[in-house]
Amino acid sequence: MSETTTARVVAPVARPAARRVPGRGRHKPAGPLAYVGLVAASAFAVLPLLWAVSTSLKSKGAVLSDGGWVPAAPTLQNYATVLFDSQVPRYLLNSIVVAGGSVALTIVLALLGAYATARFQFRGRDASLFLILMTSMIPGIAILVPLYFLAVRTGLYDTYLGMIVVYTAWQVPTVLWMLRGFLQSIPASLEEAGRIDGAGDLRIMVQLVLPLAKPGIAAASVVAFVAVWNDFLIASTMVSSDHKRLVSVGLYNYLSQYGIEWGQLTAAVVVTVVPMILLFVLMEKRIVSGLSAGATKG
Amino acid sequence: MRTHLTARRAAVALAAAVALTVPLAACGTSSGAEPGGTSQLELWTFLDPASDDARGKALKQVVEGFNASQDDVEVTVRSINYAQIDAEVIRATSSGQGPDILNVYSTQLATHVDAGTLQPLADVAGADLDTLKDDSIFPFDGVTFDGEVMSVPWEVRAWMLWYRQDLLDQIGASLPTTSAELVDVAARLVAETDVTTGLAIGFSDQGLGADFVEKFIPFTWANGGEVLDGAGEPVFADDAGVAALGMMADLHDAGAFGDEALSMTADDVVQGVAAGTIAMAIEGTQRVGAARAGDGIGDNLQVAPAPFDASGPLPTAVAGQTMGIGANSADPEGAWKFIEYYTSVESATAFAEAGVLPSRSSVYDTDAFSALGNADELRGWREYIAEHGRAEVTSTRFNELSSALVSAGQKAVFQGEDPLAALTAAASAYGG
Amino acid sequence: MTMSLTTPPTAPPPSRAPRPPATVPATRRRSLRSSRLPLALLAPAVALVALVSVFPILFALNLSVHETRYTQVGDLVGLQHYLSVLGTAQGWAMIGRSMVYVVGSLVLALPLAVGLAHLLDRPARLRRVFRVLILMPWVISQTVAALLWRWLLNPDYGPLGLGSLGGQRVDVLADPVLAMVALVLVNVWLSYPLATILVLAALQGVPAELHEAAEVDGATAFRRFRSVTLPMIAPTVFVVAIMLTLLYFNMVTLVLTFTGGGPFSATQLVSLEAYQQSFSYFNLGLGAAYSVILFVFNVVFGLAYIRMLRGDRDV
Repeated sequence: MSETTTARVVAPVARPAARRVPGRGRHKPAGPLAYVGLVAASAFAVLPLLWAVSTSLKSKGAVLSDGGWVPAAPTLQNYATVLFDSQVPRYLLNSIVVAGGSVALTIVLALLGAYATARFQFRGRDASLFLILMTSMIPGIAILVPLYFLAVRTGLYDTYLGMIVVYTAWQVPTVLWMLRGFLQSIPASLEEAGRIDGAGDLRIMVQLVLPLAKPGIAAASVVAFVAVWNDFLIASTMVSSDHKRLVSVGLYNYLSQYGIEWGQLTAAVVVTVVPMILLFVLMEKRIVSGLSAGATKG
Repeated sequence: MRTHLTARRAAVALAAAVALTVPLAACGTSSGAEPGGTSQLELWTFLDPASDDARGKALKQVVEGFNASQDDVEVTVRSINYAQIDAEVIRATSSGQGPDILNVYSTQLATHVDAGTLQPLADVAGADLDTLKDDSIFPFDGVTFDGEVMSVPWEVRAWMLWYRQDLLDQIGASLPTTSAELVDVAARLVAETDVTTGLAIGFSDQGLGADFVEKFIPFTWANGGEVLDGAGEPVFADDAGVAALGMMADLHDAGAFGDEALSMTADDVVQGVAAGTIAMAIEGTQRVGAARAGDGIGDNLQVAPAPFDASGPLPTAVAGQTMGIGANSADPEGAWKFIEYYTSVESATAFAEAGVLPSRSSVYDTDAFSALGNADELRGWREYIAEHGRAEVTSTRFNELSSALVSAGQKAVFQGEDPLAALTAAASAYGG
Repeated sequence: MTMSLTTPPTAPPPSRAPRPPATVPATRRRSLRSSRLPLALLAPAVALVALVSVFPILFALNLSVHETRYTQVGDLVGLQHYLSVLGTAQGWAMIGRSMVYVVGSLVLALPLAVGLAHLLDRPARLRRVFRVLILMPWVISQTVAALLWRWLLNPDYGPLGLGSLGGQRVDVLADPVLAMVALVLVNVWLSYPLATILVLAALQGVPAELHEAAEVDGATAFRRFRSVTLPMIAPTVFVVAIMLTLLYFNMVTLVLTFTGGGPFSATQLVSLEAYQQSFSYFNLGLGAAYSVILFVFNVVFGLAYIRMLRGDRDV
C-alpha cells in the first residue's frame, strides 16, 4: 500500500486550495422544482421526529387511543416526569462528559498524528497510516467482548475513562484522516517562515498551525461528538452503573418488560435531541465550511 | 517489505498493550464483608428504583425497609434493562465480579445455572426454603437444578385470554369455552367489528420470538405433548407439536389474525388491544395493569383462562421473577437475609399493590391484599395457576430454542409449509 | 454566497482537477531531530488504536477457532465455526442478505446525499432552515429511529395511515421483500445526513471559475454537474461510500430493534447474527467467526473502493 494511495483515498477534505470568491455565486438561485425537492426532503427527515413530539405531548392513556398528529388534550406531564423525576438529566450530563472527553482526547491524538503525517516523511509513516486505516474496518461487534474483558482487567470497566478511551480509539482514525487532509490544504509557507525565524517544530505547530486548523478541528469535533452521542453498543457494554449511563442506553429504561412507556420515551428523546439540534444550528455553517478544507483558510 | 514492517509494528504495539495491561490487572470483587463492619451487597435487577414506575417504587421501598431493619447488611441496587441483564451478569461473573444478589427471570434460570452465576441456596437458607416452597404457587421444580434450589420466585405470571368485553357485546358473543368457539368468535370479531385482528399471536422474530413461544408451549401441552424431554432434548416435532401449530393455522385460516401478526411482538399485541385494533389475545398477566391504563380501556379489558376443550381450559406456563445469590458473593448469609426479607409476605404485599402477582399463596389472604381493588380477580388468577399451571420449559439455550421455534411457526402457519417438517428442522437447528 | 469574508486564496486553483496538494518538499526534512519528532507525535494515536482495536481483534480471531462455553475458551476446533457459515446454504443466504442491504442502502443514500447537497448548496430562501431540517436525522440514534418508524409504518394505528394502499392491505413488516425495503429506507433516513454534509463540504471546494467556464461553453445544468462538479467531488464521494459501506455491514442496533431479522429470516444479516450468537446465545466462538467474516468483507470492499479510486485517478 503506497502512501499516496491511502492519502488520496481517505482524506475526504483534501481539496485543492481554491475557493469561491464572495459575491460571485456559481449557481443560479433555486427554482420552484428545487423547493419541491427541499420541502419533500425536509418532510422525509422530520416526519418521525414530529410524531415523537406529538406523542410526547399525550397523556399515558391517550398515547394509543389518540392517533392524531395534534394531541387532543396536550399535556406537559411527560416532560415534567422526564426532567424532574427521572435519571435522564443525569444521563445527558454523562453523555456530554463522555462525548466531550472523547472528542477532546481524539482531537489531541489525531491532530498530533495528522500533523506528523502531513508534514513529515519518515520511516514507518505509511505502515502506521495503514494500520490506523485498517482499524476503522474492524466491526465494533467483533471487539465488544474482548474489550469488556480488557476493561475489567485494567480497572476501566464501568468508568467514564474506559468509555472515553474506547470512543477515542474508535474516532481517531476518521478524525486523523480528516485533519490530515485539512492540514495538507494549508500551505506550508507560513511554517517555513516560522522556521527561518528559528521557531522549533512544536512551537510552529502550536502557534502557527493550530490556529489555522481551527475550522477543521471544529468540524471534525462535531462529527465525532455526534457519533459518540448516538452509539449504543459500546455504551451498553462498557458501563452498568445507572449513574454513569449514557443517554442512548438510558432511553432503554422506557422499554420495560411491562411494555413501552411511549409518552415518557418520546419526551426523553425530544429532551435529548434538543441540545444536539441547538449545537447543530449554532455550528451548521462551521461544520460545512470546516469540512470543506480549502474554502475557509485565511 | 512494507507488510513485514506493518506486522512488526503491530507486534510491537501488541507487546506494549500487554505490558500496559498486566501490571494494571486488578480484579477486585464488587463487594465483601468487612469484619465487624456493615456488609455492602449489590443487587442486580431489571427494575429501576429511580423510575416513577410503581414496581420500581415498590423495590425502592423494600430495599430501604431492609436496610433500615438491621445493621449488618446494606444493599444497593444496580438496575439493568431486562434485555441486557443476563449477558451482563454472565460476563461480569466470569471475570470475578458480578452481583451479590441477582434477579433472574425463570426462563433464563437454566442458562444462569449452567453459566455458574448463582450459588445453591440450601447451605444458607436451610429449612426456610421449605416454608417458602410450601407456600409458593410457582412450582419449585422450575427453580431446582440437580436437586439444588438455585433461586426463590417472588412474582408469577400466567398466560390467559385477554378479551375486549365491549367488542364481544357488540357481536353478541359470549366468552368462548372451547378452542373451536375461540376460532369462531375471533373470526366473527374481524368480520363484524372494526378490529383488524380477532385474536393476536405475535410471530415476530423480535424478542427472539418470545410471544409465539409463550403460546406454542401451552398449545403443545394441551395436545398431550412436551417441548423438551427430561434430558433436555427437543421432542416437539411430533403429533402434539403439529396439533399446536394446527390450532394456530386454524385461527389464521379463519381470519382471526392475518399477516399483521408476523411483525407483532408482545408489545405490539398489548398496544393493539389498548388501541382497539386487536379484540383478543393470549397474553401475560403482568401486562394487564398497563394495558388497562389506556383511555377508554379500563374494565373493557377482561381476562379469563384461555379455552381448550370441554374437559377444561388451556394449561398455562408459569413463569416469573426469581431472586438468587451471586456466585462471587463474599457474604451469602447477608444475601440470604435480604432475599428472605424480599420474599416475605410484607414485601410481597407491597409489590402486589404495584401490580405484581405474588408467588406466595398466603399473601392473597392478607387484609392488605383484600383491600386491593382487583383482589378477587387476582385470586381467580391464583386458582387458575394452581390448577392448570406448569413450570415454564427450562433450557440452558432457551433463546436459541425460542428463535428456532418461531421460524418454524412462521413457515407452517403463513407459508403453508408442512408443520412436521418445519418442527423437525427447528429441532435439528436447536439440537445441532 | 455567504461563504466567508476571509482573504482570497493564497494558492491558485489547480488547472487540472482533482489532485490533492503535494506536500511542500521543503518540509520533508530528514534531520535526526525531525524524524524522531513525527514518530513521537504519531505514537500515541497508533498505540491507543492498537490497544483498543488490534488486541481485541486478535482475541476475536482466537475465539473464532475455539470451542467456547459462555466466556470460557475450550478446545481448538480449527475452522469448524467458519465452515458452519461458509459451508451452508443458510450462511450464504445471510451473506447475500447483507449484500442486498449494503448495496441497496448505498444505491439510495449516495445519490440522495449528492442530490441534497447540490440542492442545499444553491442559494435559496430559508436555506439555513432547510439545512437544519434535512440534516436532523443525523442526531437520532438507531434505537429511536427503529422504534419511531415501526410505529409510523404500523398499518393499524400508525399515523401514516398505510393500512390500505389502493384498497389492498399492506403489512410492510410482514412481507419479506417489503420488510427489507423498509429496513433499507430507515437506514437511509439515518445515514444520509452525514454523507450529505461531507458532499456539501466538497461542493463548496469546487472552484467557481470551472463552473463559469462550462457555463460559457453553453453546457446544460445536468452536463455541467456531470462533467465539472462530479469529477471534482468524486474523491469525497468515494470516501463517503467507504464510510457508509463499513457502517452498513456492521450495523446491529437498527436491525435488531426494527425487524429482529424477520419475517421468515428475510432481514437476518451477518451483523445481527454475530450479535445474537455472542450476546443472546452466548456462543462466543461462533459469534466471533461471524464478526471476522464481517471484518473480511469490510476489508475487501474497502480495498476495492481504493482500487477503483486509484484506477480512476491514474487515467
